[in-house]
Amino acid sequence: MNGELDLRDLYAATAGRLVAQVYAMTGDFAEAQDVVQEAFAKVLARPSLLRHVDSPEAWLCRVAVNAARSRHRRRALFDRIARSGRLRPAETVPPVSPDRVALVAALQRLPRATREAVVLHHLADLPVAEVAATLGCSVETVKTRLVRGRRALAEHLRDQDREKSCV
Amino acid sequence: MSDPHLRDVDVTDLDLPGLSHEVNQAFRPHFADVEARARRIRRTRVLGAAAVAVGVLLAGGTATVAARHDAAPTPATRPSPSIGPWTADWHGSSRTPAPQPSYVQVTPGHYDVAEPDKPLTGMFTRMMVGDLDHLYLEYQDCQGGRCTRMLAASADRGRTWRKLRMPEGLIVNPKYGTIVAAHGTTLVARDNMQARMRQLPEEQRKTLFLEPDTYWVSIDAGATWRRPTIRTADALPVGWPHLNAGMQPLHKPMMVAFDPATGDIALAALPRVAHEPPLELPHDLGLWIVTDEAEPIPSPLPSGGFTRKSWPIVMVSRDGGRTWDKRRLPEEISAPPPAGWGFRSDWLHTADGRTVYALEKRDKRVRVHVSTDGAATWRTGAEVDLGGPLLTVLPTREGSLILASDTATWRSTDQAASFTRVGPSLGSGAYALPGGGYAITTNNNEYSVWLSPDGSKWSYVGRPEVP
Repeated sequence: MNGELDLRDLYAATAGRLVAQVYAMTGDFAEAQDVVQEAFAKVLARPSLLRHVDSPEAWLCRVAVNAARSRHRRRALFDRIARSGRLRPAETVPPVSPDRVALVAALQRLPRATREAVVLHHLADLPVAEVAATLGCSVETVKTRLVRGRRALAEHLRDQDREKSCV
Repeated sequence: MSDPHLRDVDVTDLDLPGLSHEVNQAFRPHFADVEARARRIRRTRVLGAAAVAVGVLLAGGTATVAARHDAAPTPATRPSPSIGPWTADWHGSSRTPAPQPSYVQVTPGHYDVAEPDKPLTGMFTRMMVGDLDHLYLEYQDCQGGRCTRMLAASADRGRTWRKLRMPEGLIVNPKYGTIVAAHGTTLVARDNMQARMRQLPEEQRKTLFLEPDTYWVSIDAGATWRRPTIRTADALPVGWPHLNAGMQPLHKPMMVAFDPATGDIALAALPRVAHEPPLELPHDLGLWIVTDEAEPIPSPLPSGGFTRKSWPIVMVSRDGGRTWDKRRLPEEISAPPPAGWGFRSDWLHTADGRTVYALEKRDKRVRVHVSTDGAATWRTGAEVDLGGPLLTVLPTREGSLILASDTATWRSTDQAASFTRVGPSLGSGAYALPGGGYAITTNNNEYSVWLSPDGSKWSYVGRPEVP
């Protein structure tokens, strides 16, 4: 990496993809954009972070995913303490086709660990071994989560289609 | 790079790459924001190191804070004899203002004033005010199983209401209103993009965001509607009210304005350096956009690299966007905590273009920065403990500044040098009206409005019975 100008190129090439990955993970487009902006800001504030990284995009993906996870934990705690009994705030949706919104909604119905495995493997294109390293579990666990995740996704999407056809 | 050994469900059916592609297209890169955040992170690191040193010399640190406070410029207050005493009266209305609801923080700093379980006739709608006499409430009548989009319109400040049908071809989302602007008897409505998209075959949906929105206009207070002429120009016509652009062609975000006499629409490109649409200010003040400005990249580049500086600015155009003046916002606004409190680009307000207020908020307190020369120079005004979210900011031409949270309303009559708590919260979202006067819409459980001719004497107008 060569300072800010290279990071600008990296941003132009990868920020949109990273936002898609975090959006799939969180179901909230504004949150996804915020997390990705923050990940790039961290690197821009300290460019040496990327000096020994082979794949900056994969590294940034991990940074963004970790940030999304910790924000989720903080928010869950806040919800329990301060917002019990109230409705969750609305999640922002990007201007994409309803089928994509439905897919992200179906992803949100997966358990978090399963969803993370599906997004990192199928959207971020990380090999199974790297997903396992990122999530801190075994390769076999990742494979199991992927199988369950894909099946559950297909079922959720079928359910949504059925609901639509009943309306 | 999907694992070939896992063949349980064909992953291509799920089309995850398609999702990635579409979201990628929807994402608007904003590297200036990354730079601003990085700057804050760097400053926070420096401040963190400084805080350790200050901790060792705590007494000295306290003295420094006090000295700095004393050194702040004394506000040049200008008492305004034209500002009358505050009154808020609901007598004579068929309804009584209800207590405020619980406000929900939708995203950081953004509060939803609706209680989501209490829509009116199935819709989350709100009263629109064209001027002190003309009021509008969009609703739907679902009797008989089929919903008809309707408009209640009053031309006598809510004393009597007409129930009118919205145009036949209007594409609606059953939950939300379509009217995006009211100016006297002129109304502008916009097809709901999500609902419009659902009506299209899949292959046409992807190109939908490349087209301008579709609008409907009425110049007779909702009695008749037509599709307006829409033209694209280098600049917006001067004097046409700007309106929120809604969903935009992704490759080229536009500013939108309408002719208050005919309802026709003009589009002009948003300046390249702008990332947000113009602020919602009285239209005769021109276009105001808050954005960041960065120093130019030196050529040749310094051998050791360099850190680009940027700062928040407000761009003002008096000629519809042909030319822009740039003015820097107060330095504290871009500073990291604790110096900066947190600024949102829509917390810049002015009633006359000369006295400009920029607000920052930390927890439940707001700090007001004031400029009396059109944002050229700034001083720091008072701090106010709102006790809740900031829901309303309204500067008036008469010289007052009104702030409201969910607990109370505060008013300053000395250009934000001091604030007085004047009464309970009236509602959320306030604006100046064409032809003079002001409106504060109540929360969504009431669908009503407070009106004032001078920003001091407020009268409650309850919604009509609908459907």
